[in-house]
Parts: sequence; C-alpha cells; structure tokens
Amino acid sequence: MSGTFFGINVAESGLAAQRRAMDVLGYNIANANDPTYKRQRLVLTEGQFLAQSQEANPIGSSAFGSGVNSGDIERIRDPLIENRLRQAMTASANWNYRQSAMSELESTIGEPSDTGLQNDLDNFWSSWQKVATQPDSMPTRSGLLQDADALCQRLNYVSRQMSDMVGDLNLTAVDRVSKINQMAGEIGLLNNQIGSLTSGAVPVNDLLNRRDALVQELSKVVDITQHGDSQEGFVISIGGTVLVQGTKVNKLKTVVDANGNQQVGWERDGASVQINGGELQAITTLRDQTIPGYINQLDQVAQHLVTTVNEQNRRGIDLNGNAGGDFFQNFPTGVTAANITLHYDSNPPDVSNPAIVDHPERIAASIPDNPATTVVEGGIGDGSNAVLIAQLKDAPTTTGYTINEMYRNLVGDIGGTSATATTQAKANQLSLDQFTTQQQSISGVSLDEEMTNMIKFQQAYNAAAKVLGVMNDMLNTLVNTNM
Amino acid sequence: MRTTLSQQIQSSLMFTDVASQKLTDAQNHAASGKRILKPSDDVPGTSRDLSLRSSINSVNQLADNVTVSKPTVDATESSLNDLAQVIGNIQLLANKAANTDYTGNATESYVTQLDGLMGQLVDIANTKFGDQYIFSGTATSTPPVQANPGPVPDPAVQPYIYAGNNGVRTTQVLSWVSLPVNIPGDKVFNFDSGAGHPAGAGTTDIFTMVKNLRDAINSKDVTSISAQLTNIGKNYDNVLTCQAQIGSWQGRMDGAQAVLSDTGDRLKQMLSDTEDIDLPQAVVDLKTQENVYQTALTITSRMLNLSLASINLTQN
Repeated sequence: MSGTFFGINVAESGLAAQRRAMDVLGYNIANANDPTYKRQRLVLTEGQFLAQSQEANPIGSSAFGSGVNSGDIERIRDPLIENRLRQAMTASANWNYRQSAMSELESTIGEPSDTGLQNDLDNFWSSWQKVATQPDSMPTRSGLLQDADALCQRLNYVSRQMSDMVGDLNLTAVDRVSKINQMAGEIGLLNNQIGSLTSGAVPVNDLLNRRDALVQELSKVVDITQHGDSQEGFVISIGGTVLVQGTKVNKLKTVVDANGNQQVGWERDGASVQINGGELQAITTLRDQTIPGYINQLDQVAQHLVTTVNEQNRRGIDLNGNAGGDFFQNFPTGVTAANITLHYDSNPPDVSNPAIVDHPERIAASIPDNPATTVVEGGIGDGSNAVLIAQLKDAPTTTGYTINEMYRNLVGDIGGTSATATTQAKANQLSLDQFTTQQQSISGVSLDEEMTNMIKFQQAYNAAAKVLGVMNDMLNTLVNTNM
Repeated sequence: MRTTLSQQIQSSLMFTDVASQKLTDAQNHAASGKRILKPSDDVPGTSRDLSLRSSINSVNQLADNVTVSKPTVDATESSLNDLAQVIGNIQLLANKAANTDYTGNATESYVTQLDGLMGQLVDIANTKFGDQYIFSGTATSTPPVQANPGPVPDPAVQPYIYAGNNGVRTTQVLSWVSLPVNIPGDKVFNFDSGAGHPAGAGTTDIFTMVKNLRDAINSKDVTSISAQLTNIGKNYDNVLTCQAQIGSWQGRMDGAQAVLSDTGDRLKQMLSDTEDIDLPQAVVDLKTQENVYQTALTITSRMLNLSLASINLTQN
C-alpha cells in the first residue's frame, strides 16, 4: 500500500515536467530563425524506483516509479554531418574567393571587346602599316607614336591593376589572420566558461552553440581539423599544428617575405603555417602563384614587343636619313609590362640614340642604302622597314608564339582558370547547400513538430492536473467521511 | 527526413538564388547581344574571338593600304598617258620635219613647238601627287628632273639630269602580296639608258632625245633628223611598257580590294557566329528563366506560410 500523498507527488512531478518541456519548446521556437541554433530537448526519464518506499514488499504486486524526472536538456546534433559541413564550407569559401578574384581579373583585362589590349596591339601594328604606306607623312608618323603610347599605357595599366590585386590580397591575408586570432581567442574563452558550468544546463548549450558557430566561421577562413568535445580535450589544429587546445590559444602572425608579401606564420616560433584550404589558401595561391604568373606572361609580351621592334627599328633609317635607334625604352634592369614606354632621352642625352617620343621623324621607316647591291634605297618615301616591323605581327618570337598569340594565351589562361573557379564554386556551393540542409534537418527547429509537441505537452499537463484534482477529491472523500 | 524551418529557408534560398542568378545571366546576354561577355564564358571561343578581331583589323588595314595607294598609282597612270601623248606628238613632229624641204625659216616653227613639248615633258616628269613627286622613286620630296648643272655630264650633251632614286615604294595589299605603287623616273624617262634598259641600247633619255632632235632640225639635216626616229620610237615603246605595268598593278589592286572585302565580310560573319547570341534562343531562355524564377518565388512564399502555427489552435 502506498503512502497517502504518493499519487499527488507523482502527478505533481508530471505537471512540473510538462511545464519544463514547454519552457524548452518555447526556447526552441524563439530561436527557430537562428541558423546556428541547435534544437534542444528535455530528457524525460521515469522516476526512481523507491526501494524504501511503501512498495517494500514486491511480492504479489510490481513496484513502480515515483513519477517523472526531467533531467538534462540535450542538443540534437550529428557531429559527423557537422564535420562534413565544415569541410564543405572550407572548400566552398576557397572556390568562392578564387571565383570572385578571377572575375575581377577578367574585368581588368576587359576582353573580348573593341577597347581591350588586343585592340591596342592591333592598332599599333596597323599604324606601322600606315607609316609603311605613307612614310613621309608626319601626321601618320605621329599617329603611330600615339598608338604606341596608348599600347604602353594599356600594358602599364593592366600590369598595375594586377599588382594592386596582389596588394589587396596581402591586406586581406592580414585581415584574415587577425580574424583567425580573434576567433581562436573567443573559442578559448568559451572553453573556459563551458568548463566552469555544469553540463546540460541551458547556458552551456548556448555556449556550445556559439562555439560550434565560431568553428564553422573559422573553417571558412582556413582548413581546420577539430576533435574532442570536453573543455581540455577540445582541439582545433591547422595543418597538424594546434591552434586552440582547451583554453590555450596558439596565435598566428604575418611576416613580410622577400617579395614583400605577407606570409602566415605561428607567433610562437615564426614557423610557416601549413594552409591547405579555405579563403586563406585561395588568397596565398592567387597572390604567390596565379597572379604573378599572369604578370609574368604580360611582361613577356612587353619584352618581346620591345626586343623585336627595337631590333628592326635600329636596322632602318629615319626621315632625316639618320640611323634608327630604340623605339621603346630599353631599361637596363629589364622591360616589364609595368615600365614599358616609348624611348626617351637619357640624361645626359645619348647622341647616337636620341629620343623617339615627341620626335615622329625618328621612326626608322626606311631601309638604308645597301652597299651589297647598287640599288639606291631609302628616300623619305621608302617605307620598307615599316613594312618589316608591321609584319612582326605575324612573326613568331623566340617563344614560338607571335606577340598577339602570347597575349591571347594569357587571356585564355585567365578565362580557363576563371571558368574552372566558377564551375568549382557552383559545385561546392551545391554540396555545401546539401550539407547545410542535412544539418538543418537534424538540428533545426521544426515548427510543426514544436506545435505538435505543444499540444502533446498541453494535453499531458491537463491530464496530470486532472489526476491531481481527482486525487484531491479522493482525499476529500476520505477526510470528510462521516464514520 | 525531418523538415525544419531553417532547412526550408535554406532550400528556398538555394532555389531562388540559382534561379535569379540564371535570370541575371540570361538578361545580361540578351541585353548585350553577346554570347561571350568575359573569357570564362567560352575559353576557346574567346581565343578565336580575339584572333578574328585581330584578323579583321589586319584586313581593314590592308584595305586601307589599297585605298591610300591606289590614287598614287592612278595619278602615275594618267601622267604616263600624258607622257605617251607628248612623245607621240614629238614623233609626229619628227616625221614631219624629216620630210620637210628646208628653205627659208621653216625650222623656227618646229623648234618653237619642240621647246613647248620639252616644257610639257619637264612638267609631267615633276608631277606631284599630294606632297609627293611621283617619278622620283622613294626620294619623294626631290623634283626628279632638274636642269643639268654640269660639268659632268656635260649640259651641252644632256640638258636634264635625274635627281630622284630608283627606289620602289611598295604597299602591302594582301598578307602575301606587296605591290609597287610607283615607277622610278629613271625607268620612265630612260635616264638609265643602256643595254639593260627595256628601251634598248643606243637610246638616250627623253630630254636628250628632244634636244638632239632640235639640234638636228636646227642643222636642217634631213638624214640626221630621220636618225632620231629610232630613239623616239624606242622611248615611246618604253613608256607604253610602263603604262602596261601600271595597268597590271591597278588590276591587281582592284583584285586585292575585292578579296579583302570578301575576306572581311567572311571574318565578320565568323566573329558574329562566335560572339553574338542567337537572339530567338536568348529570348526564349530569358522567358524560361523568368518563369522559373517566378515559380521559385511563388513556391517559397506559399511553403513558408504553411505551418501548424498558422492554424488556429485555440483550445476548446
């Protein structure tokens, strides 16, 4: 025989449990729109079987529990899916960054169009044809110098844009490193707080959610591996080296290398960081390999242009019958797309090689008298040398490609890399979306489910209240019995 | 699979994002009329596109070369016509002079006529087209025929000298064809007379030829006058040969122009095929994407409204 008030206690534990369940449900609904929130559930267990209770003698009747226990509030999650989601985020962030950088590059070169570098190149060659046809016309010669100048400036511009991108990438690298440090620091603090609170309480769940969100954000910036869940066992590492362990944080820093680029290293010992993914890897790859490669290709175009045109211009004679000099400035330190310009006077001026800029008559359009034959060539109406220079358009350089082809290859390379980045970004976005959906399916809040649960808890609460009421009636009946 | 609110939002966003991106793409292509807006749209296509643009530029420039050079050739041709006419007149005059009975002052009219013709010859030789002397080879700023200052050659023997050069100005009319646009004056006026010259051995330059005829007429020696006829005839033939040459260059320039305009049209067509959109296709694509986007939006707005929470759950 159980105690008089035993049933009331059981009913009361039911009421309390349903109320608590409703609290958790309300919390879920309140956070339904927070993408980092993981739904929570009250774990209900049967009340303890009371060995010392009124049911001391189990013979003939089965023992039963003392009501319902409302214990831990657990977060519903699947660490495996979260891990996959993090990897997808790393890949997606990496390709997204590449894609946006490549499309910026594409708009820098602005091809195909009537106004790109290709057009400037074509105009340059055409102008030589014009001079070849009318070598004694000063306006035509000035036109050539203008077109050549436009070509130089375009090469300067494109090269500068690319260098600027490298500069921007350096700034971004520094920014991302400080972001990593900041997030790592925050994770360390969270670990400290989590350790000091009892597990299962709502605040701990919120801290865990916050930590998960930070780890996700971190995985967009750089590829990380994370294992362990407890306070001290929680480890995040980059490329095999620990970034965060429990409350301890191993910070990163940036070091300027020989090329003036910001390289990422560990603050502790300066060792370089093994970066295999995420935005940071996209940044360093673009900065150290991709864009310098394009700048180099553009430099090649400029160098071959200068070498071949200068060489042929030197073989000719100018309008005044003087031997031709350099057409483009030949820098002793090497010609690049960034510095290519028309030949100007050195200081002091070199009398054997005077400036061509502002001196259209210096264009060596004619071929000098050839002593080998008795042919007298090279009057001011002779444009044979200009023809030879114009024909350089279709002449392969030492690279095996013509100058135009070298530029086309560059455009093709940029286009190809950009197309790959776009495709990869789309594909990775798709897989990221898939994992996000999957993760949200497990940890997200379903309003329908919460609504259904609400009815469930409400009904259970009503029923428990009813039981309490009937119990009360029964006690009343007992107490007020007129014996 | 459990369906949750964030999951629904996530997939709705995914679908509307993809649909709106495709719609924007379709809009960009339809509005610009271009299939290739950036290299990554079609990498081999971009390369072909740039190559075609470069070729079109070349073809335009070559056509320009023809346009610029052709008038010079035409001017040379008309000068040669004039020249042939003058030499023809000289030939007539010489024939007449050779059959004249020289009594009294009959020589005077011939001499006057010859002086006039000599003046015409010098004018023709120093014809300018634009700023250029057309018969001075590549020394286009030098008058090609000038009075002989002596002492070598002797001005009494050769009244005029050639001050130009024998340079030939050429112009590229097709990528594999260069054509001359001038005939140096020494060829036309036979200054380089000699065994190698088309006019043949024993001939003199045209101006010496006129002077010799004038001397012969002045001497009233019919035999000596007749002797000049061979030289005149050979020089006349030489001018006709030059005319034929010019004529053939004109023909080839016209031919080149036709080829260039043909090639240009074909290249432009190819460029258009490479980079332009198929307009009806683009419009259909645009419409389709519009519908897809519209549908995605409609579905999203309907789906997100559906929930038990939106149904009145007030208890009884």
